[in-house]
Amino acid sequence: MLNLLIVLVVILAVVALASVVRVFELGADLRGHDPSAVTESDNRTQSTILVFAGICYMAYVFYQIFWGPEVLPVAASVHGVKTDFLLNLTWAIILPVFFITHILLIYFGYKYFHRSDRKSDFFAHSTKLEAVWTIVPTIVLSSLIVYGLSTWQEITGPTPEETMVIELYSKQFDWTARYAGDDNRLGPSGYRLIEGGNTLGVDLTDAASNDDKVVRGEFHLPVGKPVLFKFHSRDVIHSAYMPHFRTQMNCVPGMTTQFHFVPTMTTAEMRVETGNPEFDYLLLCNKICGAAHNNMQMNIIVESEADFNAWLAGQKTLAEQLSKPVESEIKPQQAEVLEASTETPNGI
Amino acid sequence: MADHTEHVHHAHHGKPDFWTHYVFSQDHKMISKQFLVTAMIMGVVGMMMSVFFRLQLGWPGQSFAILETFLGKWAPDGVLDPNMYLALVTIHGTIMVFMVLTGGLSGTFANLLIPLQIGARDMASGFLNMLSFWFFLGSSVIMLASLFVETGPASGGWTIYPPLSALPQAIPGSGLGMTLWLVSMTLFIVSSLLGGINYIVTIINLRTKGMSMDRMPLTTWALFITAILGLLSFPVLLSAALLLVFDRSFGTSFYLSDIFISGQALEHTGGSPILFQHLFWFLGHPEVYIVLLPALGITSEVVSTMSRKPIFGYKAMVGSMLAIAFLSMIVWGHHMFVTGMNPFLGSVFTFTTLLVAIPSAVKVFNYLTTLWKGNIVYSPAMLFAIGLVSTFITGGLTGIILGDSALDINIHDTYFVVGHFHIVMGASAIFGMFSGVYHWFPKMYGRMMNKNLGYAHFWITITSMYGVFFPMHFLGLAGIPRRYYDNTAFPIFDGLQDINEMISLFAILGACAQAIFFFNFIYSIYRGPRASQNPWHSNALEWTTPVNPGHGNWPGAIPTVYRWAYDYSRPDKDVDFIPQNVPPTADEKEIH
Amino acid sequence: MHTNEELKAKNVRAQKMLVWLGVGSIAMFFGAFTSAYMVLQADHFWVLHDLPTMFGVSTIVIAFSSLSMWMATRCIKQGNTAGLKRWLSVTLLLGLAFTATQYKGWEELNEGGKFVVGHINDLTGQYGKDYLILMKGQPMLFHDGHYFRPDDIGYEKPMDDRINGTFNVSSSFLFILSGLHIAHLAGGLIYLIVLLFNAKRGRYSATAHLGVDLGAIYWHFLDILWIYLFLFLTFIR
Repeated sequence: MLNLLIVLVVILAVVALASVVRVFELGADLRGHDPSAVTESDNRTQSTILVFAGICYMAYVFYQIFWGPEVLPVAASVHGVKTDFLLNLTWAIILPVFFITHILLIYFGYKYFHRSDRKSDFFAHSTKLEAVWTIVPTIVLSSLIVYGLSTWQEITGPTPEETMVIELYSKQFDWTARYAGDDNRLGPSGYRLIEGGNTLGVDLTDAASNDDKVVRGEFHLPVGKPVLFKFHSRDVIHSAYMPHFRTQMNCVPGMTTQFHFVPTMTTAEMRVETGNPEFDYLLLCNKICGAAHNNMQMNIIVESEADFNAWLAGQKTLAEQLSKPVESEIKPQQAEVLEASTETPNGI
Repeated sequence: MADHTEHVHHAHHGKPDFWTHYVFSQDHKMISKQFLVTAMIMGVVGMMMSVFFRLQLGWPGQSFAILETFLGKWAPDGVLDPNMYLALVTIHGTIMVFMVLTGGLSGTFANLLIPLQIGARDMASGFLNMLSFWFFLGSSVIMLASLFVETGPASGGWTIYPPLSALPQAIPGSGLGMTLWLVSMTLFIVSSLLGGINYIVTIINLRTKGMSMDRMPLTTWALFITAILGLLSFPVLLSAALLLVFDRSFGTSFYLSDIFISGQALEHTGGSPILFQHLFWFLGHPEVYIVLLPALGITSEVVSTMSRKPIFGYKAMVGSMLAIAFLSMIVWGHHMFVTGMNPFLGSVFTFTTLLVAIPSAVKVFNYLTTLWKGNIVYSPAMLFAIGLVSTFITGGLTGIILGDSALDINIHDTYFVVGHFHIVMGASAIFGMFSGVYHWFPKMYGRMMNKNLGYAHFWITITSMYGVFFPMHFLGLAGIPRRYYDNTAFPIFDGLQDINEMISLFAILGACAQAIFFFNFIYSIYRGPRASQNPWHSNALEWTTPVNPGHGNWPGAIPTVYRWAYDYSRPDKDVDFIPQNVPPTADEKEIH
Repeated sequence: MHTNEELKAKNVRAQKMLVWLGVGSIAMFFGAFTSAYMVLQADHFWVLHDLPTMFGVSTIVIAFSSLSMWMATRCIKQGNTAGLKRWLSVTLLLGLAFTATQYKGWEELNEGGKFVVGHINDLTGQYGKDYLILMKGQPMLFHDGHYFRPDDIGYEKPMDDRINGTFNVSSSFLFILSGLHIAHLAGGLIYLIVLLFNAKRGRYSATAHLGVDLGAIYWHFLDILWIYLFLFLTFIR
């Protein structure tokens, strides 16, 4: 009934609007005007609105510039500080361009609205002007490209010696992190070994595997130490996104990707920085992966190296975790084939 | 190829009956209208979808009766289902990018304008042209049909990355819904290829006497370059889709490898999901310009005509379009900076991507210089053209941030990207399309659209457009990923919910504004004031035909062309404009 | 003003260009597949196999069909409709023969354990002679019935576990590339039949034979496309 009423109201509104438009057009006809012709007063009105709207738009953008940097706190990684600087530099170049071109657009739009006593300036070509606005952007962009690429090379450069390796495993819809145990070596893993509690498919026959530590829910990082993440996915593409560290890398089934960075602020320091005692670093999924894509997260705790070592020592080893029987809904698989993580091609 | 095209077209056919006139028409003007109306219907569907998911994003988890009315079981108690949310996002993207802005924009204006502006009786092959529309319609119908599939339509994002799009176990939409999506896209690709081939051949071969390439209006140039881009890139998407079909239906393993899902390890090994991304974006990036270039072409024509001033730097405009088209073929990797691609390759793609800014800057400055010392007539088409210049600047500039691989690491796939491409390709292209519709409506229907409704439409549209998309940059910088059903799982995003609510309100406003356009469009077809032959005092050849041109366009001989299309306000003449078919006087020099 | 002849010439040029551009888009279509082939080749395991000998025969057959198509167009240019019909029939027969040799080639592939959807361990024959497996671009070692990494000279760690069950993607490509070519050839065959019917009804003359010319462009393209695929699969493997 309500729907019917809504439909009725809409139809009536359309009919009413049509009548109003018709009356206006007939009125114009009677006065001898062509109702569709753009008049001098239209030009004046529209160009005035253009100025008004343009000023509003630029004010709106200006307002958001001050609002913008507040949204993510200061970068908590070494390379993040560099990319933030690059970002600000880029803003410093493009915002003036934005304002200048818009002011010109609006100013010309207002100043040169049509008057019948004027004639346009026939100005069809100027090699000099065109050269200027080809060459100037080229120079500006070249410097941005050079600076940007040097930053990119630093970020993606070779992993420093003595880097701790952490493997991040993704699946619909959660994350698992794996640390090497006391032997400092991660055992190989493969999707065909996934069975029961061994959700990562770690090769338990390999000597390096037993003391590995597997953690869920949250994982810890030592501050000031380089960490190399190796990313895995066992079903669809996920993307490991850690916005506070300005870090992101896709997790692709069938290959291992990697990213290394140095966290620079502990969680405690960041809580002070943001003034939010609840603050936690986050790992999010940033590649559409299914119904619960929006809730695929893991907390990250950054702490001093001593605290980190204590935390890691307190975690159970994989052998300990798997020794007690695990209730699992997952059907056991034939675990005869091995996919060694070190042998998967296509790392970064 | 067939022989029935061998006869030469005659200007006067017998009186056509209803079927050959309105349905199986081979007249380019009718096909153009068919494209436009189909695209408008698809546009409404796409827009409604965006309103639906904006309701969820603005007020997460809240119940809306309208959702239940339209989506039924996918919105139990008026709350959107997460799978349906992803499906809406996917189909919204597909419909808008392909059906509205590729099929609708190129299909409408290439068909309408190419023969009229170059002085041809019709397209090189009216039959292929008709087929092109029917494939397009078929593809649109199948896309709509996929909405009613039991397991839901395709929901892996419009980029349909496998394995998500290949495995029904991963998301229900990857079942029959995805199959229909692929069928629809295959038809769509065939439609674009048939159309594109026709446009290119028509422009190269059927120009009237005197219409050399350097006298062609920029609209035709833009449509020409667009068609070439489509011809080079759409077949690649077809290949990508075909390999996906093989993986999905025949058990091959091109894109799939090492997958454990639903409690079992899949057989598939040996493929690479990244391969799909390479193939997809080899189309996907040129696609951006397939969408954008016609809009830029339309704007060039409108800005010049309505400023009563020649377009500034005609050759630079053509050159920059060619440069953009060329560069667009070698930048696809910038969509894949964080897929673990070789860092050196990333550097190359950053380099080529940022180069696109140079021809784009040339275009913007040329538009500005065209306005400078002009005599601007504010028709609704002109307002939309100015709007396009603004969105092209705004969206283009943020592209410099996204194209930089080092910066892309942090904002890749966040709302920053959503804001960027909606402004630079969504809004720009749709503004170009609106501009074209207001400008050439008299040519299509022989009547004028109501200007005051046009003004209202423009101002509300641009306000809501910036209201929706500009704040998204900041959501992105805050780290909100795109395609999230809601952000409530993350307390750090709570403070941004106000912005999301504002965006949703603007989205609803923007959708309502389109009702004004639809009313104006339909009302004007039947009741609009009758148009004069050349209502905008334009130089281009399409305005030399009768108000309602028949099949064959010019009742007598095709006019001969003596000058470029932009002889407005020549200082050596008293008249305001000199159409292209006016012969030069003895002392006159051709300037451009 | 345009005379009728000029318009006609314009139209002929336009129709030919339509076919050329159509052919160009098909070329892009196959280009994408061969690029994908090369991308996957550098990834995971890749089986190198020699093309079936029958594919060599089909290359010769399709080259001859191109020649006979050329003869057909030459005949009609001289107004020789009988010659046109004869050579079109020859082309049609050679086209069918090509299809038959392709089918034989697929059988040959199947005998070697290569399927549209198959595994590396389905392969039969002798390693190194009938097939070769690449791992990240390097040939794997084979010793005593086991596979080893390319750098595992001492034959220490067999890789059979990983090889077994891995899909043979390169043979999928062989079938898909040749299959899609046949699909395009089928269109050509149908068009040849149409041409033959029209020729029987006397539709073509020395001055009006656009249909034949268009068919010839497409047919020669199919020939060149196959030769490209043949060379690509022989040398890039």
